[in-house]
Amino acid sequence: MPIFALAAAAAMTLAAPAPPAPGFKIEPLGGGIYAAVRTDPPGLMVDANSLFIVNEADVIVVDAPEASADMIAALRKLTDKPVTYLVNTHWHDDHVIGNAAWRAAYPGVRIVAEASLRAYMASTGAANRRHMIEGAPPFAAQMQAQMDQGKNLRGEPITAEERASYTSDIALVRRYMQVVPQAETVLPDLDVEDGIVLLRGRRRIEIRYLGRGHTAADLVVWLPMERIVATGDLVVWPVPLVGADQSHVRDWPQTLDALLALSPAVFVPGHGPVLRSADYPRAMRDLFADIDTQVDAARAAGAGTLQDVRKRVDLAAFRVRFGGDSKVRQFLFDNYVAAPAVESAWRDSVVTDH
Amino acid sequence: MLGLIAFAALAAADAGIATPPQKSWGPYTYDTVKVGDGVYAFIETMHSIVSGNVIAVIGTRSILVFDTGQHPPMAHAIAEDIKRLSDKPVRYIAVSHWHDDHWVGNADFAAVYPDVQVLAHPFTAAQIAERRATFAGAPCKALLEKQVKPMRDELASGKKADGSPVSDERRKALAVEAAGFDEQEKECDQMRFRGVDLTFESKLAIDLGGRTVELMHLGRGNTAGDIVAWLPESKTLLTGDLLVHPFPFATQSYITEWAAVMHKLDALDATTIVPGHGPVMHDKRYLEDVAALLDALSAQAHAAYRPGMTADELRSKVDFSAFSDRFSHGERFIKINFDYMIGQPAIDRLWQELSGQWKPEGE
Repeated sequence: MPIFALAAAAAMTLAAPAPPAPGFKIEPLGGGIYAAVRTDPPGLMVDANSLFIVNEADVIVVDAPEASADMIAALRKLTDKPVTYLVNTHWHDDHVIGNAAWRAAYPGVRIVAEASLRAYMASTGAANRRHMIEGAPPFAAQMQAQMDQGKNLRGEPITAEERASYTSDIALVRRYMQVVPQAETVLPDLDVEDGIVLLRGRRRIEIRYLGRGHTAADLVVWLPMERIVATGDLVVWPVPLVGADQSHVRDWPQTLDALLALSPAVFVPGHGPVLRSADYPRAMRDLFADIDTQVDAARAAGAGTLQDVRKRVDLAAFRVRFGGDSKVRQFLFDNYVAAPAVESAWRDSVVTDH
Repeated sequence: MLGLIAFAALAAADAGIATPPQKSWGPYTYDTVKVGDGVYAFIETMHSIVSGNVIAVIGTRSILVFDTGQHPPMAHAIAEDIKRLSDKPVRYIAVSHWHDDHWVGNADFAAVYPDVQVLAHPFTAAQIAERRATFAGAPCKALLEKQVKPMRDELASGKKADGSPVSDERRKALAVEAAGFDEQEKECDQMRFRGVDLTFESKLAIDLGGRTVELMHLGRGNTAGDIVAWLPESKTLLTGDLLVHPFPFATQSYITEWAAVMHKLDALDATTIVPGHGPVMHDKRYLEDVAALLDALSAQAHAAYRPGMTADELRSKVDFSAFSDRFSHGERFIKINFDYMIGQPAIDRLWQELSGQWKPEGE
């Protein structure tokens, strides 16, 4: 699920063909652990990664993306052991919408989530889904129109990178519309607060709440023996995913500090490739800490409104660090970081005043 | 708790007191008590305080069993009973704490319900894992043999350890207790290990379908890893051995912290309470009695303790006679147990707390 910052303009029918491949690859991480990693190019529209932890007698799965049906087929090629637990790292559709598919495939599966997910799914989650179902097709149509006209969303001549990104977005919207509107909402069986640990012989699977960040309900799945962590959307590559009213940029740095304190060797992010170094999560931490500092400084200097604060926050250096010379990534940074993250930090800092 | 109950039974026999109706050992029988809609307690009848209560909470999708008891054949029979009560599977066992009489039946439930997951506090999980090698088989028998040997010696010689003759009352009691140990030894060969699959530190809520069970660890109490089950819709509380009727089990407990936990339980305002041992309760009176007892013990010990004081010196300064009367209602069998439990291990633990010399549980 993307957090759309774009207002859809044209209302056109979808012309793009359905994606030929499932859009993910299975990456073995050793010890019977497999990441199901999306292969789409970076774009505004995303589906989530998943993680399969195959134990002696059962399987634990992290996240239930829109591609869950294909992921179930992929898992069945790896093992015939039953899935006993499915973890929703948070309540966005691309992490929970497959719950019904996993439940249908493995009736005994127990779905695990942070305790506040239940209420979010019914309120903000349901509203998100409505907006997406209404907004995604016209958005895809607009992207198609941009490509037909040879222009990017800013009206500049479109690059090959942007064309690939838009094509992927359109395909993902198609997939979203095939899966989501008719999917049954399946709520968790287990509501966790501080976390739970699954004991599987020598293997420990720690399902932990480390604090607020991408949402107020982020869980990570940490395998201390293997030093592998599935981060959910606390870590997203190539730029973080921030929701102005759903993320907590003010808490995110210390939540990432708690994640980094585990000293994982392998990060399986919510979106993006498997990361084998802490550099990228650390960069995210620095980005959010800097935004918090700048927002505080702006307010201290007398910026009274969000608009005033925005004028004083300078993220140019981070835009280069995350966006490089890629127009797609720079656009993602502007839409998914700069605009919503400043608002999130501002909101939470205003709340703290009261 | 077997050795302790045998001690009490013999003490009662010596005092010429008729003990409760528990005079034959195995095969175990139990009462099935409907606690409320979809909640059943299985309460052992013969030695009603030896094996922990087993409680089934039945939802529209799955069933949670809170504790599985001491006896493999009984656990198996209860699992079969639950099959008759509901066609839904038992998918969760919650273990209230690590004492054997609350989890030895895990494996028997798992034999009937292979998909089941065992849930507990991490301390409980670690203690149970440590018991793996010794809870069953030869070590189990050796421990029972050690406990029963003095009884067999008395029966054989007709003389107590101090050389005095064994009365008829005592001989009868000894014969019953020794026979009980024989039954227990047979069970040592039937016990199979099933440890813990999932741990949580403070709280875990489980949706069974139309019914929520909140598992909570509220602090150290009877052990360092007690959990309770709270059913918010029906205001039903399953306490494990934080609450035991007719007298508290306080063998290796944390008296002061336990008192605090009891106040948290009191604040839940349960209308139905199933204790770890003993009958289903429909009010909080007994829970509040135990909370008041623990408060009083802790307060008296804290007031009386001076550095360097021995446990026996502390014991002489704590007066719980009013509570002893209140709990025993004139029943000397209960009074003997109560006075032993509170006067010995509970005060020892208070002394350990006050002197900072905690002994690890299980030693």
